[in-house]
Amino acid sequence: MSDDSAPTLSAAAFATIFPFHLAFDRHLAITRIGASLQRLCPHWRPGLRLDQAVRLERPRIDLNFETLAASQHLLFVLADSEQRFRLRGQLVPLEPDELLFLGSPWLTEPGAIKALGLSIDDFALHDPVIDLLQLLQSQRAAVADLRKLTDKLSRQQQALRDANARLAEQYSALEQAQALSHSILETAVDGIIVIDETGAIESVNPAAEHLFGYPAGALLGQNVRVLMPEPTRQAHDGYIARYLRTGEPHIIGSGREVTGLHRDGSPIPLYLSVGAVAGADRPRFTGILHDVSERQEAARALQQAKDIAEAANRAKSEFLANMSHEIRTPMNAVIGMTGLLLDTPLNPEQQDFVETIRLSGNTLLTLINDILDFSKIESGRLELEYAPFDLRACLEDALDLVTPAAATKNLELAYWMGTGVPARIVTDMTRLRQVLVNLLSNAVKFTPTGEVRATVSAGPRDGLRCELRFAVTDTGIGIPADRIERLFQPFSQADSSISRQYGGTGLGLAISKRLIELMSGSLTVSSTPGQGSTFSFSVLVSTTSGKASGSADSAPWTGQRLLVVEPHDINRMTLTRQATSRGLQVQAVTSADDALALLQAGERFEGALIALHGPNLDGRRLLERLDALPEAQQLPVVLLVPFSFRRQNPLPPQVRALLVKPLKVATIDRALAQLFGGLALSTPTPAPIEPDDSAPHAPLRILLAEDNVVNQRVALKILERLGYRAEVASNGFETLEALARQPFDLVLMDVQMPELDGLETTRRIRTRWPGAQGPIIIAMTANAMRGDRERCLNAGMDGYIAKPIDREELRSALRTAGRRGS
Amino acid sequence: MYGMVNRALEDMVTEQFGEDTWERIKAAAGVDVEVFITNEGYPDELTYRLAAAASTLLGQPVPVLLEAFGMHWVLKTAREGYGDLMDAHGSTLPEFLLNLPNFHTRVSLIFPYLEPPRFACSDVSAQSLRLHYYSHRAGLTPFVRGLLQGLGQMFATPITIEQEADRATGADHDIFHVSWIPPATA
Repeated sequence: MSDDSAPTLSAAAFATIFPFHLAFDRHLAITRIGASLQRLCPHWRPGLRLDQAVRLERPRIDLNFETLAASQHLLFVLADSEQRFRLRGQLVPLEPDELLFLGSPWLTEPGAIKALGLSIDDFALHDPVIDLLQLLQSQRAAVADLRKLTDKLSRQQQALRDANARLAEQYSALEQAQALSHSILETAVDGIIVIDETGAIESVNPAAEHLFGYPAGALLGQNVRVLMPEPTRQAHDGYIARYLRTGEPHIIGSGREVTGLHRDGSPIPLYLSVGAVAGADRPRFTGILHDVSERQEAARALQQAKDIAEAANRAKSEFLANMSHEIRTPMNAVIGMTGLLLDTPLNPEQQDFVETIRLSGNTLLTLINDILDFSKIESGRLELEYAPFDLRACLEDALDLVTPAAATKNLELAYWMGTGVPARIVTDMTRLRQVLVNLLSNAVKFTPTGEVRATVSAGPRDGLRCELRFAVTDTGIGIPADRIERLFQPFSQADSSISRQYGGTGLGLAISKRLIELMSGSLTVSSTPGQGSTFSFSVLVSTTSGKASGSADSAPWTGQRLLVVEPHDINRMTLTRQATSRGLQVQAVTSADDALALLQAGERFEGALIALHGPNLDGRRLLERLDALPEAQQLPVVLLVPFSFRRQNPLPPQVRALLVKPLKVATIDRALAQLFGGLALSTPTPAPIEPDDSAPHAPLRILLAEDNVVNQRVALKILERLGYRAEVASNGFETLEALARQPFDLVLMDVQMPELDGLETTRRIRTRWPGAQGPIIIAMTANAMRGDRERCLNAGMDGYIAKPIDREELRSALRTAGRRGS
Repeated sequence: MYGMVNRALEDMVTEQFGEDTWERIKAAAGVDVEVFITNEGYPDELTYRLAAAASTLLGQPVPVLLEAFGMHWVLKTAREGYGDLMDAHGSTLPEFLLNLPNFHTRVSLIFPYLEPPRFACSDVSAQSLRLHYYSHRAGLTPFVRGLLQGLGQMFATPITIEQEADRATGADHDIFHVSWIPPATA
């Protein structure tokens, strides 16, 4: 296309295409300004000189028309005089004396459009400035992306560095742990083996290699079975398989004794503990092996020594038992014969000699029985016999046995059952009573003046189980602290001189301690020399229902008033409790003055229980003074007297009866009946108020077959009270020997006896002495079980008395035997 | 698709739900790109996967998500990256809408491989115009609707958008009738 055909632009089209054009004349005066440029520089006007409006940045030429006209091939950059923007463009001739600048603002910042007060519409569409700006913006975005990426990479790199540092620390710790483990493995005395799930040995320490006799490294890779003898070897794979299948540990996590196999084929006794390695990528197991050859050897030696010692002990016990038996047999003969001798006419001196022989024989027999009892406990042959019984009766029986000894010293003897103590309990009554009698006897023995008291209180209860706490307290000589330890040692007393002074084997406390331990209890002592001692023990018993002795069936004297004058606290409490339970209103005082003061103050009573003796009390004197008081002249009185009391002078007229100490509920009831009338109280054992020493001496020859010493003493005591005397046999054989030696009218036969029990003894008696040749045999047994009576009668016995012995029942049996004997 | 689009999606999710959610969305979409380069081209299918995964994880239908995304694009992403340039493209909503075709023409020139959409305006009056949207990509109509909503907010101009033609129902292209109340009278 030639120049001639160039299109001619309209002014509007030109303005659209070149909105930033600028024309000037030969004198450099501006002649035209494009619309957009005018908006950019509103103060530019035609006529303004070019050098006043702009500065020529490029090209660096003189700003005159000719030079400019000659530079049409150059790219021009004009800066406005205020340095706000630059124009980029070129010069073209417009007229001979006029040049035209075609261009647009050169922008490198997208914000510049707005800053210059322009909009995108100020630019011609063909102008690439906007595209350039967009491109620039894109480039910036790309740079921003790059920066963001770099930041992210930096962060990640830092995180990696941190992770590396942590890893390095962990690695170091791991190395140290490994070094430690290695050191432990290498120096451990015990063998340590690690196996995988197939049983292959992965690691083994020198101790294990040495233990099994293998050179270093020889065991690695081998199956651990090579270290096991049959049949463990066969079973081992099964153990691992089962653990992996079920997770059941079997021996994992625990230890046990096993037998290992030495390389030379010999067995090694081992203690093996097996563990599963936690956190391992695959199952691994550790075995720690300790050679227990020496330990087993030591245990064997120990067992052997124990066996020997036990055999020696058994031999000792058997020797003791045999000895005792051998001694007892002739002793029984001596005692039996002296009994017969006493029934013959003797002069007083002979009588005295024979009584001494008999007494010494009995003492010796007691000692022998103690030794036998102790050896039985020591050899573990003693078994407790559990049966229900009345605790109060048991306590009163025990007290009965020591009453005569206490009476000779004028000791006050009393017992107290605390609230909540069950009336009937289940334990071994005979053995419990044996302990009580032993403690009471000791207390009486070592107490010259004052009192001995037995108390029982209830401890915690658990359903039918109850802890009973017993205490026997005296005001005796006491025990020095450094002697207490030896107290419970067999054949020992607190002071060896004591045995000479007081007698005894020194076995009593040792036996009691063992018996209490058998009853799940313990025996302790507290003592102050010169002031007295307290022996305490607790036993666990079962409680059982049933009526207790002395329990109130009725309150026949409700509303009547009773005066009690008793300085001794337990006696006063016992009297008050029993009288109150019978409905009486009780006023209890401790002295005569207090009693008189009450009466003088106008208090009235229907009866009085007054102690004969006591601190600050003279009962007789009080009675005289009462007699002098008009309001008390008619007061009926029961006098509380010691066991040793013997009536010498006539009693004052107001005394209706005597109540003999130690106090028992039955005798108290009878005393109250004397005061208030109505004797028909239904107490189970209406004991006499005074000792039953008036019973006729019945010429009955009685043999008591009873193994327990205390039971013997109880039975003998009751018989004595009833006016009888008896010989004693401690088991069935002794019974048969005694019968062979001399005839007896009556045998009181304990059913449970060692060696030959009562039932078998009875059968043998009936075979050997049939019909009337044989004695009457009455069973005495604590076995209050259904069918016991039948078993006794079937064995050939004639009657049956349950323990604890009921005096009336025994009296009745004796009368029956007496009738038959006569 | 322009990396800026994916970036915008990332920004929106991160801003509203946290970075962990975005990472989960990327994992669910199977996208392993640490940083989206704004002007880099990414497969369209990647963007669709991200949108689908975001829809599933955020419990929002894809169209709702895309519309929100369109608004976010205008008000946050584009403003942050191209604020000055956007300002230069118009001081009012209609000015801006009328420049939209040229703007995309320039983009197509600068980044020919991005295949940006094409816009055209017709029936321009003082209070409305018809915006024609041509794209070879399917399913982005809600995104355009969101863009328009965002622009209305950017210029503080309440607008009404009425879609008169829908490619999803067989039309050649989408047509939006956009009407507004001029700020002076609003």
